[in-house]
Amino acid sequence: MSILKHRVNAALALVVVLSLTACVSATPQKRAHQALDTIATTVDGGMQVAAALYKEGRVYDPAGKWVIVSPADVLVTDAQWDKLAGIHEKYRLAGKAAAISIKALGPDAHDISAILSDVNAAATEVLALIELFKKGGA
Amino acid sequence: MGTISAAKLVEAIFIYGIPKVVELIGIWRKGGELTLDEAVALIAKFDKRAADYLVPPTPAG
Repeated sequence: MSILKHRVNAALALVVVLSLTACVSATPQKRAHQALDTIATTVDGGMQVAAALYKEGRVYDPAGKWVIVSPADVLVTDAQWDKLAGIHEKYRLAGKAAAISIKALGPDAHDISAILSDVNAAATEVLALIELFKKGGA
Repeated sequence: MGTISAAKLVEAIFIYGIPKVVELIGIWRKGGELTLDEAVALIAKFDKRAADYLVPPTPAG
């Protein structure tokens, strides 16, 4: 888990650094927005993959739940999904707080990397767990 | 933030005149600023919870 987490963390850190430096005409506020937007898009894509994996071996019950119909095909257990949902909630709240902070910043703000550190760490956890789902672990 | 060298700036002023260069700098700076709509849209991206990804399949047909 730690090597995978390290790799995901390195990739996300690279995304943040590239976003913070790529657009030369953007204000720091705008660059923080772009970095956070990139993180949100990345995690959103990962969650869609995780949801698709969770649905394997299940059908949607009209009562409002996904029920297992083919246990052999199940790739993600309910316990694993609940774990992901918990980590995702932490990420979601950190992301929302960061987005609100960015909105509140003036265009001349400078210390923007601190705003992104919590959400970056939380996003790393989410993506690392999804990677484990894809590899059949967790 | 990117920079424009003094030599390039002087050259641009000679070619385009001061008012045009001031106008261009204004456009350049504005293009890099965050709009309120963008800021609000980003906040809304974090409204989606894990359960929202488990949407029911759309009925066929």
